[in-house]
Amino acid sequence: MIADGSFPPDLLSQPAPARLAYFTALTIAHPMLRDAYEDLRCAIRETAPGSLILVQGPAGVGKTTLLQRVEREINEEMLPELEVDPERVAVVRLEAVAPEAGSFNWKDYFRRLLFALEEPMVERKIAAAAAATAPHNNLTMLASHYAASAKLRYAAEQALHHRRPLAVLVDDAQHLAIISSGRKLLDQLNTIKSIANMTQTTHVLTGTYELLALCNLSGQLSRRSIGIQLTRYRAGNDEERQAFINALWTFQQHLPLNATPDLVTDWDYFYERSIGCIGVLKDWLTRSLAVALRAGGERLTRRELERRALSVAQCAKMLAETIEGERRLTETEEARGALRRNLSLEAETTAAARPTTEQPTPTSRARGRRRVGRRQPVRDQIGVKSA
Amino acid sequence: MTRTRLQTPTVYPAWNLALPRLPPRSRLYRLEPIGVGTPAVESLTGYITRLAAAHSVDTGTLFREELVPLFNRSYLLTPEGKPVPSALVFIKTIHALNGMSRGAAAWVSALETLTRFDHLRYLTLLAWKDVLTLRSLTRTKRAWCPDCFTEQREQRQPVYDALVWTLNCITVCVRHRQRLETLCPQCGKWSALLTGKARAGYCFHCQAWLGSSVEARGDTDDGFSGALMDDVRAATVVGEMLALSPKFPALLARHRFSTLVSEHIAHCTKGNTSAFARFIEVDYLKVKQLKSGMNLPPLDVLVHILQRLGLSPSDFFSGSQAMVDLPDQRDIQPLPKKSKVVGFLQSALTDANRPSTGELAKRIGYKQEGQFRQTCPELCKAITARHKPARSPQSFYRPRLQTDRAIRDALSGALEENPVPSLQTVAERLGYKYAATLKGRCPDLYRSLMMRRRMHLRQKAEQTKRVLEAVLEEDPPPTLRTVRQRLGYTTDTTLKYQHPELCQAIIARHKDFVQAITMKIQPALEGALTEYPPPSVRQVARNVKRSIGKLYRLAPALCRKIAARRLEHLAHRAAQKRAALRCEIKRAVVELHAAGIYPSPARVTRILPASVAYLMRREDSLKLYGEALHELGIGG
Repeated sequence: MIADGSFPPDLLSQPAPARLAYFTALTIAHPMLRDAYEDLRCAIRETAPGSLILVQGPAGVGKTTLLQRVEREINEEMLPELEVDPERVAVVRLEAVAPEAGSFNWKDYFRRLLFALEEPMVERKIAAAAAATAPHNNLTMLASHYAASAKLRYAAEQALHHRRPLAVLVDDAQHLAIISSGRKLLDQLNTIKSIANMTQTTHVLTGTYELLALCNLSGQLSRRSIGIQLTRYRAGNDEERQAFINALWTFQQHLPLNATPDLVTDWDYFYERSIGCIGVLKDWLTRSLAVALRAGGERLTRRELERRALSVAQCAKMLAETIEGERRLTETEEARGALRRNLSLEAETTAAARPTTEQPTPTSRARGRRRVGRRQPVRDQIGVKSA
Repeated sequence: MTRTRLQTPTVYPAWNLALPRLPPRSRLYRLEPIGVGTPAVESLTGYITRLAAAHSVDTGTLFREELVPLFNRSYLLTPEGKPVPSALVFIKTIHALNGMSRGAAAWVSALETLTRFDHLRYLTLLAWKDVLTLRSLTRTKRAWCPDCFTEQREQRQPVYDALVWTLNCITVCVRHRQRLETLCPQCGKWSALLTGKARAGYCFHCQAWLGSSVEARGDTDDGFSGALMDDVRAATVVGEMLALSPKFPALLARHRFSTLVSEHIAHCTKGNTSAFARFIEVDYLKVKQLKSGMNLPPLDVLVHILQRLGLSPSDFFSGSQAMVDLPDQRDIQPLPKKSKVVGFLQSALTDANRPSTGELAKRIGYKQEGQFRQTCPELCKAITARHKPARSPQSFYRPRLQTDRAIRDALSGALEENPVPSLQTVAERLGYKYAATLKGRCPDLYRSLMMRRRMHLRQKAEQTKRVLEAVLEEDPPPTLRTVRQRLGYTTDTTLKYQHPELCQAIIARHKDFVQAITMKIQPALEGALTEYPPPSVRQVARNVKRSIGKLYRLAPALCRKIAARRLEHLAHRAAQKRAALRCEIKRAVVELHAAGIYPSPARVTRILPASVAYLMRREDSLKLYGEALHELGIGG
């Protein structure tokens, strides 16, 4: 039983696997997660059917957890309607599996979608012979390069049309970007977009910051999509730091050990080796707990924790990727200025004083001015409005 | 990282991520059945095709995967219990699906389970189970109206098969006033009501679109024939019936129809059933059965009655009175009173004519004597007992087709014939279907003809046996086909049946022969490739004693190679000869010139050795001659 505040006392008398299971199943509602959840629910509720919602965040920050929570809550909400209408499905959640070799496998994606919709006879789908089959619901067979996936795609569209889920939640959507050549990158997201549009079903795509590359590919795509971020906790920010500490404290209280360990005093160590991602922190604690339980289940020593921690190199790598992604998402004054200039809201200024940004951009260089007309070799800031 | 003052940490609540218990979903999509409560209601078979199309599978696949497991019929399952592929084919009475049988009920309940719907039974005629009879109710071949399909498609509505089109007595479309089609315009085939690749609006076999073309529509407004309009009216009534059933199921209860018939008889013709039968133009016996509830009416009869009474189905079944003009009540003979009947019968006992009860019934105003037997059975028996001996003998038998004499003549004539005809032939000549009648009528001649025929057949068999044995000695061994053609049979079956071993021997012999040829030919051809001088294909053929065509058929590539090689050799030889000729001409010219004689062609030819001299006749040789002269600088 998951109780608020702390683990139930009788858990201590249970065998080790039960205790481990308890902690593994624990999910805490830390502020970032809660906010992202609220944003996502609002987005699903308020946007027009057929939109795309992109949830981005580093690995281990809690995106899958977020989707699980959304799935549960939507199902709870729609229970009365599901009683009345047995055809309807509340929400579909599936994972975009990384292909073993080559491009992203659409056939597999559609098949998983069909299974998630509890569709019968998935292996027996045929291509509908003519578009005139169902002209009344606008689902036409698109001429596709890949005939095998085309019939599964048509079947998936039909299934979505009939089952009318509130949303389709796609986890690990950054795998969509795994394709052979850059030219087809736009096609991938276009496929999702056209399915969403055709079936008037909102699609929620979750993924790491590589997802960003997909959604900024075309203006049309940027227009129709909404972005939500689930970031890590940054130690530089007072509130976020406190939130991280709170989360750590909550975990600490829920560890089913005889002696509650004190993790909060060394919170910066925990922050360092989890780079502020609650998911990473939880996995780490779970691993350590498993070892402690095997050893007897009395306490969790610092040594155990240190052994199970990620290495510095791993953390540095994770952090580098995360920071790169975060940087690209941050809206800066310069980007805004560029937008305004392009819209002719402001005149072109020659010597623009560059204001300080939240995080220093490592690639800006102070060079002497080049010839007139030549741009300085810096990266342009690009950004996506966060919800 | 500088450590700021730590606040007291707060605990965050835990989230429950487990999914709630969901009510079960429908396994198949809940497609809304079209037209329930209207005349244009969809048929169950059409609904199934639409359901399959929505799931983008073949209809047969839907049937096999989803419906068969619900039926649990052994003939649809393999020994392991899985559904048989193409299981739909095994349902021979698929047309009954749209009807009222138990099978239809089973299908409806299965589909209702899968889609979690509850009003699918109105896609069939199940609501009319207690009112109509099953006989010739549904069609076996699918029928449709092309204009309806086109209209549905143009208005972007789902294309569907209507229930009225599955009824045998409906032959027209009410909306478009034209006959229903049963044959596909593209492949010309008719189809059953449901097949493996069925799709609404398309031919079940060739998948051609069945809607009408634009030009064909719209020009049926002129000259509706009377018969067509009658059918349209009947179809309209049936449409109203179908629209009625979902709304008022209670009206269609058992025995309701017979009750209503009795009421109408009482109302229209004062209880006189035969007058009523005349009034509604239905056979009297049928009316009697319907009134008593013994039989249920077929659909066309019910429609006819409704039309004659001028009532719509809803009016009829809610018990309204007939709307048409009733026959003149004075013309209808009222039924006699019971007391009168008894008195009448008793007086008939003493009648000198000894009438039968049937005649008495007619006299008194009944149509048949059944009423007598009900009221006073003993009197009836007495009357009949009196009547029977006085009756002229009737033959209850059908008159004979042929007289005995004719049969005897035919049989004896057949005995003389050569070859002896079979008994079946004789029977057919006489006009009988089977020879058994002959046996009964004329057993001795029958028997002798039979024996003669048997002997004849036996002799024939012996003959063929001898022929076959002779064939076994033939060389080259012929095919069984040639033998059979020689003997005059059109198939192998008789031969193989009568003399199986001989036929097998002939076949085997021929096969070996062909094999041997192939075996001989192949090495001969290959050998020819290495021979010098290269032979022609014709020579090789002569060597193996086969025709050239055979060789080419067996190994065309090899033959071509041989031929090419030969040609090449011949060309080479010709070139050699030409070179030799050139030399000789030169030599001869030089000789003559040295001798001071002008080397004219004739002289040169005379000098040339015989091996090349004959070539001088050719034109190109003269060219060579000219060249030789030119080379040597001799003018000419």
